Amino acid sequence: MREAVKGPTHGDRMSGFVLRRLGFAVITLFAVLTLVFFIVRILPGDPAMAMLGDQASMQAIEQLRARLGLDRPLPVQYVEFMAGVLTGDWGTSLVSGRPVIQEILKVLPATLELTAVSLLLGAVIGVPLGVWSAVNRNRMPDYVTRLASLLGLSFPAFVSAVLLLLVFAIHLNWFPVISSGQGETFGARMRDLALPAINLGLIMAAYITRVSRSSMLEVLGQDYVRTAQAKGIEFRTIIWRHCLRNSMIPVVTVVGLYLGILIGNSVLTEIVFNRPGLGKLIVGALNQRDYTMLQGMMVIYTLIVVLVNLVTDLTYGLIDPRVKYK
Amino acid sequence: MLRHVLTAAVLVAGIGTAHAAGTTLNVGIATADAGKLDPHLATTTPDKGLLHWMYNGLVRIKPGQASPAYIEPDLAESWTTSADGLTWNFKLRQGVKCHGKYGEFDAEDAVFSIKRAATKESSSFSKDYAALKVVEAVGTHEVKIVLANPIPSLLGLLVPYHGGNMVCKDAVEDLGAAFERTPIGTGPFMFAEYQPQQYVKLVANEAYFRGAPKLKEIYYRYIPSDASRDLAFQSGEIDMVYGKQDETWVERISKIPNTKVVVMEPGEMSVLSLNMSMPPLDNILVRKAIAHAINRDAMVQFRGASVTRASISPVPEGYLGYTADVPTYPHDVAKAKALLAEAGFPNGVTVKAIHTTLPGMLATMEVVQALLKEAGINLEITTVEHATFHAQIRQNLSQVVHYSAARFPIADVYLTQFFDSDSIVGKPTAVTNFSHCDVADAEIRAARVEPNKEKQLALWKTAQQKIMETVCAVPVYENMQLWAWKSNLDLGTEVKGSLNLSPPINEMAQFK
Repeated sequence: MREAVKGPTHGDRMSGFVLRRLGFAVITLFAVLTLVFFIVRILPGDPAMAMLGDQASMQAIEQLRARLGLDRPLPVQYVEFMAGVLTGDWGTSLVSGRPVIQEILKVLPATLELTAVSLLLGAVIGVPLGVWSAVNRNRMPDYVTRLASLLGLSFPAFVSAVLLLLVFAIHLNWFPVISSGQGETFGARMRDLALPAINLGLIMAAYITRVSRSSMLEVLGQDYVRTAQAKGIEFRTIIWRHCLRNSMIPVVTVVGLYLGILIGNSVLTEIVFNRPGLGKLIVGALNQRDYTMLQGMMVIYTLIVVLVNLVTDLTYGLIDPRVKYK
Repeated sequence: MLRHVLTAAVLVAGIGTAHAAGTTLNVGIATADAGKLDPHLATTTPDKGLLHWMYNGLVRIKPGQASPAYIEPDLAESWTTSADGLTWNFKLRQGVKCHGKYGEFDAEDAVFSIKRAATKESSSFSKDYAALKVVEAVGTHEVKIVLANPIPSLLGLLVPYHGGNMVCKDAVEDLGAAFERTPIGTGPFMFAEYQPQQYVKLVANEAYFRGAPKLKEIYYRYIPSDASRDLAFQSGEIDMVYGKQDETWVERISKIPNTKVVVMEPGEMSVLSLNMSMPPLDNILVRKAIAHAINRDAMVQFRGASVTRASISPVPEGYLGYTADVPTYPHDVAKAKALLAEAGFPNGVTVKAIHTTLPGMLATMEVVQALLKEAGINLEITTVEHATFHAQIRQNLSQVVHYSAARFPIADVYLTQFFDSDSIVGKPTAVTNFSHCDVADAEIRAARVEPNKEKQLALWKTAQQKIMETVCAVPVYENMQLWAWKSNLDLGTEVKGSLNLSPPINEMAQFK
């Protein structure tokens, strides 16, 4: 009698994979934090002067630098910074004097909400459009879609934002110029979210359309598609049941990658629509050389990117069961 | 059809502009968020502008004016001063209430507040109060101040501006660190709510000693994007908007119906400091050539005549002690060239400047560059980001420093910070003397402690004349403060200026 060879189950492999990826994430985070710490300090410009204003004397500036600990050797500051990050103490903002983590968490939901809705909007518009364009390759719908997506890619977010405001807030008066992002009712919240989300969503849709199209074109050329057609399966069914799922892996990869672009554009979008969020926070922190705040924000951005990459990798398995986690 | 569907959807989503018309004022200011809301620590224009509506001083400058010539009673009803100008007694108003639960404002509060403003740890302006030897309460409603030496203007230190804002002792002690985000004063409006990156809400102080304000709420909205701020004003979401110091802004915003554009004092003066510690600017002939090459009229025309005026003195116009009676250097390219030749540079000369990338300031510097070029002076500009610019010019790295600033409108402040040799960059006591000017030290320092007003004015005048004779710097123009508001908003006073740079909104302001 032969003993059954016990190999690792799919679940074991999966959790091993997740653990390994988390390990990599920690290393990435550590490297980014080190980089951020030094880059922030290489920036010319003195936070003490930014805080005291341009009438302050050198003596006052030196005193403030000492109080903020900016006069201590860099290695000492570095060790303290790292220890702080690990223990959840991200320091207090050099400008407002309040804990960095508190300031970030207060506005993080607004940015996440905006990014998530834009991503969803981008996918809902982009995927069908990409498929439609691929199926009609080199015909009018294809040309129109490609032109529109090219326009979406090359349009700066702050320009489209002002155009949206001019049309929908000023001329039609449907939406407010100032999006508080904190409407009390669901309706009010959606109303605040609408224009910023459309602005970002359209940019995302442009990216997704192009990837969906090329990925779908590749799948359409596969043998099994011809076989399915030969069997007499309705074309529509072939596209939506067979091809779509097979073409989604590149799309997921691209969505994961472009989330960085989305976050970058959300900074501009938040500023123009005057919506609270990480964007307004980071611009203020940069202008005032708020070291601790900048560091905290880099940690958050890195965390988001690392997390998104992890989720992207895991999604592959959901789409395609043949993907093995090793 | 589509439009009807969308309109319906929008209405269902709970839209409909909800403006509590009549008593709610929405103000748009150009910054991403509130900084420090403690009046003794706030240094930025947006923070000071908001605190302006919440605080009183012992005295104040008449609302709508910015000059110390208009000082009048505020929390103090009256005051007396000794013959030597060193001992002052202020009699406080009875029955003034601090905001909220913090009781009556009395001498103890005033003493606490002044001492707090004079303390380094709790104030950004402590050095202004260095000459105050004794600050004490005499009974419940009288404050006595004794100075160690005469200063240009004690009353100027007691107006609601910087350290002169009167805080309530109980509130500061009770709130501790939270005071920085919960300002408590005695003014017409009280702090009600802060929403990060969005707004600070103020409500009327019904117990205000000059009477209950007619406006009931103010939303001070943080809108960093210039375009969005103007659009929000156009859509009616804000009633008052902070303007860009630019004539094109005035033209644009004036086209919106029912808009009143207001140009206010104090002017922010653009000055070119010429670094006399470095060749070729150590040569007075070269400095004079630069002065003659600048065409002020062209500069004013470039910036817009309605928002700019030409400067000739090293002290801005309208400041106490300002004089126009100084050596001037009219635009004269031939003369500039002749001066250069005389200095030994018949083929022209090159000077270098480090400059900020801030668009408004950079545009000015580029015009200066073009004007100097005509006279054979080649101005090489290295641009750096704004915070870097401030750091590098303080390390004595730039031959020409273009600086734009407004200060408390007394000649002493400007002269001390920009032209007293103690303020030369690089020294421990450095402030903003970029030119290494030291020719008027004696007059500046004597005027600072001169009790006789006439003599003081004469000393300031001589100082300005000496600085211009030596051409330590070339004053170019002054940029005025710009705001716009709905024409149905009546502030109850004509607005010509505001020390805190925001329009005066007090118990008289109302929508008509």
